[in-house]
Amino acid sequence: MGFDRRAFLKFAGGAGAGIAVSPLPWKLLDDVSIWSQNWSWIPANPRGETTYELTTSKLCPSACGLKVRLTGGMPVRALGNPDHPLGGGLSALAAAEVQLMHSPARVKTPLRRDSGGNFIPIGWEEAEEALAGGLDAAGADIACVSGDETGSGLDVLSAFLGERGSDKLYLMPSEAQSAARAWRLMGGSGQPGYDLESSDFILAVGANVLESWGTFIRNRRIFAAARPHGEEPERGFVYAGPVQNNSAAVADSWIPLKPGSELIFILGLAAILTQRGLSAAAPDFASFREMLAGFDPQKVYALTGVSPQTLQNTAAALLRADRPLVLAGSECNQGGGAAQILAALALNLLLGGRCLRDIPLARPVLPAAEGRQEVQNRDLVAYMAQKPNPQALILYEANPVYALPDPESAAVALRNTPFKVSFSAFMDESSALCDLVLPMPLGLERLDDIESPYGCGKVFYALSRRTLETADTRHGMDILLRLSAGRGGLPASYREVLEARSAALGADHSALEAGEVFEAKAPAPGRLMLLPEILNRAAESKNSVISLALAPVQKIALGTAQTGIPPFNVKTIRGNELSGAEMSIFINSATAYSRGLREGDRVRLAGKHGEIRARVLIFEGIVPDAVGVPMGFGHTALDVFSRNKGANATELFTATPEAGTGFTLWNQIDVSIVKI
Amino acid sequence: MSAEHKEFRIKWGMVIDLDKCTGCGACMVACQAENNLAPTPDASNKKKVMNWLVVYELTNGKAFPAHEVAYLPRPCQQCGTQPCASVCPVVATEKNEEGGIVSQIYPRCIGCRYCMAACPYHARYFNWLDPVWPEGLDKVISPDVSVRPRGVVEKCSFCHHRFMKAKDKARVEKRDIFELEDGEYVTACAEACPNGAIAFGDLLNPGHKVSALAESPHAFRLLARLGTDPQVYYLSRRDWVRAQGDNRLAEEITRG
Repeated sequence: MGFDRRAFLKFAGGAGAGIAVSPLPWKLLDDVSIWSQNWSWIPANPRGETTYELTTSKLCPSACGLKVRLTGGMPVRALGNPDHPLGGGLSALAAAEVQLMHSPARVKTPLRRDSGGNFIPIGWEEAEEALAGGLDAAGADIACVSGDETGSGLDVLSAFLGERGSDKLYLMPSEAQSAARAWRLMGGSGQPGYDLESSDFILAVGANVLESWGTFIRNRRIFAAARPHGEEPERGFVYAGPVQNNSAAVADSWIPLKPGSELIFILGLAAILTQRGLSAAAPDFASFREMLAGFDPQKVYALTGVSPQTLQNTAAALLRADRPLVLAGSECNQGGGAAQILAALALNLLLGGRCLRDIPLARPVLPAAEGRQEVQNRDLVAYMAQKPNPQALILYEANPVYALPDPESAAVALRNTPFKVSFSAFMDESSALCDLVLPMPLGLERLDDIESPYGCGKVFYALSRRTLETADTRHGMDILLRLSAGRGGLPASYREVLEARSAALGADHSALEAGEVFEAKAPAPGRLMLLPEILNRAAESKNSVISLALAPVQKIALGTAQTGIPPFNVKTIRGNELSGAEMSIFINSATAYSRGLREGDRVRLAGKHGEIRARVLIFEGIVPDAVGVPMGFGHTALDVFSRNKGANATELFTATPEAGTGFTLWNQIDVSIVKI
Repeated sequence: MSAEHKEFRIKWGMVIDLDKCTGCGACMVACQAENNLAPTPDASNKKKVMNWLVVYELTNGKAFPAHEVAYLPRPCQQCGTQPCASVCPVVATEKNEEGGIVSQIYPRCIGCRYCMAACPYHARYFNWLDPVWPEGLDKVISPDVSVRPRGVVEKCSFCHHRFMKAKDKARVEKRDIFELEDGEYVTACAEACPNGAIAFGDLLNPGHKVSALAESPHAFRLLARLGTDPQVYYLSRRDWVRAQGDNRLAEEITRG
């Protein structure tokens, strides 16, 4: 019997039936579905043991607490640390901190500019030699700009410059600087501290307390605790400012203020409170009360746009509270001047000042370093306005070419400086103009410190920890200390400086390195002055008529001047904020109507020094005759996640000296808008 | 095929307090990092951008100074009656596990996008292109969630991997895996929110605070009248915010 046709069909049929009832087809189908989605270019998940390390964010201005998750020793996620005194969640920037360690904008190796103007990668030995050569050639004519205002690196920079005969150490402008200046004018010894935890009513004037002002993650944790879900809030919160921003969105009420009129609003409140019999134990209270007589509600209405009734209601709310706290600041954390903060501090004193603290400034731990007070008193914007041309400029985590008012002037100043070096983790606009760029480790890659960031209510000290060894970065402080070779009593390494700082505070350094935090109570302020003459002179300068006022808005999701927009944060930009490369500026419908503009119109917005182009977005959450401009766009360096997105709002900033305090400010900026 | 209503012994739910949300975007960033969503250089074309969680801006539509603004984070609503699951031809999306999380099984997904068309919340996204991770950023992929290729639909999973971990922990400790403590399993967005706007837990467990919050007179669900029975609730004391939970016509007469 042969294998005939019938037998073949029987065999084929049997085999088919057998395969059909076996798991084979399903297994093959399963494999096909898995392997058709498993390509070599799809990244695989890392493997390894999961561990956690506690630290404090050096990158996020809120200095929030972090719990870093590591897989196989590699950081993969930044999580919040609710037990941290400044923690309790994450900012949109801190949430992306681990990913920023691998950002395409990172400087991966030391770079030197060659004769053709291009950057060439070099080794560290060559880089340190070039640094030494450039700085030695400049002699004592060296200036330094630091973007780090809370670290002991300031001591090293100060001592390093001092040892070479220079005292030109400047900070990038910030609210902290203005506040510390106001505080010391009043007679405070360090910086103002705010005990938000015990306050039962917060009035934020211009200060975007839930987004970018002070220790904003702590602020938000306190806000959250005071607002049980779906119930009446336990603490009052009112926001006054030109834009219905993130803080205003959840405040009990938003008081619209003309841009730059925060000072007048605060003085108007103080005038009502003194009329109702409130006083402060200040030697100049009598003249302060006399000065306030000039700020009647009608005048305040004319200058701020706040109706007399709203002003009265706000004053009544402050009076009703047991422990009210008034926080003043500028929406973009810079340029608001010292007078409005001074006025808010005076108003707090009228209200009893029970939530104010006097937080001592960090004392120098290096003999050659000057005090923080001296550094804070220097005004970088005023210095740049003098068109200085130092022989050498050190940029330490600072990006003045992007962040200073009139950035083009800063770029010109940089170009005119014979030798400039940038210690930076990212290839930002300023680094791109330097002769030497030295890659800095980020906060999660280095040992560094954070002392009492502005806004906190206690003495605070913490260390950022190294969670990842990065091959080709070196801490700028270690480089400068090595360069000093012990001259001027400088130690050999930055770790020694941090250990000295811990010892000076009485903190356990090894516990700090393990992620713990040092806190100490700060005293209530002593007898303070109210300085009515200064306030009056500053207020008088606010009378100028502005046709269209600039109202900058900062969102921490768009990063800092140093980081640019973190890759993971690009998706947080709403569709009406940015379309391709074009960003939106926003005005309300009345402003648009009066200027013949409609939503979607392309416009040119011009300030005194520069101009930007954008599209019009109609947003009713802004005062009339004001134009809201988002900060954080318009980068020309960094990476594809930051470049070619909108325009830089600082192009429109014009700095002027503040009457009374002499500090520069840029919060009352007249701009013109033209349809193109 | 009509959508089937599914009930379980435990029901993971989210209650988002819109009176506490400032719209900062920290939840969106945490979600991307936790669930390995690739970054995008240009995210302004929202139809092509992959997001499991989006924060929308709401306004009361009034002119200055009566204008008000609120922010609404929108994850997958994990509907009790799922419009998506009933249309999936390959059973790639289901609601079959205790907890009531609507699954998305990527290897099964054939990319037909019927589920996207069916979802009334626009909570589903299609991978038009393979995810591109800039050099180095692929090193910080979290270990718990696989990276999806092009051609499949994705959505929020309530960080399901965290549920599995919490269950594993309970098993090791010889506890009932369906009696997890409040806070033992939370999503990445809820954990990241500094304002505590997002509460997460078992809606059926009286020991979990979300069970009481969902009953609050200020609670509402999105497009509730569609009968999708979402497991995501929103809270607001503001009438105009609650009114936007359903897209009623201005002149529409409503019942109840």
